[in-house]
Amino acid sequence: MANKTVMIPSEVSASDIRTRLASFTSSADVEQGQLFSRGALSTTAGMSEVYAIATPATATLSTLYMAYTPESVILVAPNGNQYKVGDFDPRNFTNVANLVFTGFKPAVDDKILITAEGFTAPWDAAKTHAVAADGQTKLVWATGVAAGLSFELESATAYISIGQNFGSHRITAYQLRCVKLV
Amino acid sequence: MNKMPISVMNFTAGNEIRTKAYAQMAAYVAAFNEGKKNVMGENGEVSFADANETVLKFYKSEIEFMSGKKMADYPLDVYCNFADVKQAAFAIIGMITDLIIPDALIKDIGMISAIKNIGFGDSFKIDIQPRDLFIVSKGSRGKRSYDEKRQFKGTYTLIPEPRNITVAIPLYSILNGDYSIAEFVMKAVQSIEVNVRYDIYDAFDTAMNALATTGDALLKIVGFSQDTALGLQQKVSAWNGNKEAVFLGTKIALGKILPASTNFRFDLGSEYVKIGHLRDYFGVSCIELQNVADYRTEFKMKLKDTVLYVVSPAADKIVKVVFEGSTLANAGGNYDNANLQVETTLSKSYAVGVLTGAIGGYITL
Repeated sequence: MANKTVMIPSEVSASDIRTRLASFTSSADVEQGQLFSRGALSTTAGMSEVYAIATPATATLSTLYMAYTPESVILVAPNGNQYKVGDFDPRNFTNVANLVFTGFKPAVDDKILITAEGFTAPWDAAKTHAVAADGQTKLVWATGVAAGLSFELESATAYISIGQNFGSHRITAYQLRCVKLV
Repeated sequence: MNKMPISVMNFTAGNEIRTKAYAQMAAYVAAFNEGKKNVMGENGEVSFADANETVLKFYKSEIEFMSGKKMADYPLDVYCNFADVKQAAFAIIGMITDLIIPDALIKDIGMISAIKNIGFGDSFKIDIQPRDLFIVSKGSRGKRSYDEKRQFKGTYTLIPEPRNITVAIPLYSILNGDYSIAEFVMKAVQSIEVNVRYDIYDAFDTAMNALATTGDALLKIVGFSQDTALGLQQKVSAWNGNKEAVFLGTKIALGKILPASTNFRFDLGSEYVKIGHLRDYFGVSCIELQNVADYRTEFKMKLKDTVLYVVSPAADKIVKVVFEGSTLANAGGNYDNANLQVETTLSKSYAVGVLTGAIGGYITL
């Protein structure tokens, strides 16, 4: 099973501005750092402040959200039963389908730390930016800003510390700063 | 932390005589394995002959207590064929197995492994704390907060699987006194213990052998030299939270640890000659892993004489051994099988794996 994306919002506007945060639900699992746009407000009873999500499209690239919820791993059995068994590894965490999760709206100068799983392809030295793209729920490496949400790569040698078995405790992560929204 | 198996704890709880007797039994076995001539009993030192008699007496009293039948009331062959007597006898064998195996493993290879006990149906989980500290940065005076730093624990699991062994003897061989099922069962218990030991060694060596050989992450060195070995020892100690690392190896491997300068060797005294290796090498302890026979291939030895391991015993043990529940001893009746074979099956569920936040070093000689 592939590892899930691990993201740390190092310094984001959403820490101070509550309107940059919203509650969402999705019929599919959503990884941390996944990009989406705000869909319709739920009509389900008891979910009057919860929105559906939509895949990024050309028209929404400037108003995207990123998923970020406290990592509390839920294991799902084939019959749909869900268990919290005390798994602390954030690489096993995903926002499970149909459970409400948090998304924040990145702003210019927001700084995040995100692992390689958060991108559509591996990084190479020519890439200086990571951008949102039509139809992509993950960031796409690029050589410059694009139309819509664009991050500048500040460090490709950053890491996130995770207790691992008999070896390195560091997972390579990319430090990104948001430089463009529109 | 190492603990006694839950089954033994429950079995002896609230019964002082039983608690003392089983503790004494474990001490007898340990003393016997260490090649001692006498063993410390409750009232001072006793010979193994006396200890054996005490154990047998206790064993008989336990069977009588559990089966509710007095041995003296029946002829011995009739008594031994009672189903409840057999069940009691094998329940006690199972209990002794649960007591002796972890005890023997802790004493012999406690440097590299930790024994854990879980109940039937449980899984073993370990959470590994990251060893990293947070990176500190200079910051301006006019800013309320700085980049939020986080780190995460990792979680790993082990699921025990049963290991089974069935021993069988023709009923006729028991009746004519050629063999007893007890001696076969004793070997079966030893076989399980040895199997656990091999699994520990294999898991340990495989993980250590796979360590990085280049760059800053280098933890595996080819060829022994004073500087590289001590450098590796320093690295393992430092990255295990300053828990002093030691050199581990067989007698032959440890014998290769000598000062680079032959000028120092006149000072080795008789220690090197007497025990075959240095106890301390530039302040680093050298600890022998006793080599053992590898019963899977006749006359082969299990441990490599060409390897030195560098581990911090005070840090987290590298290998975890997890025993699930108690040993199941299933003793068949004399007439259960159509061919009059008498069978006993032992089943012990365990898992062995490398699960640790610590690191180690590997030196091939």
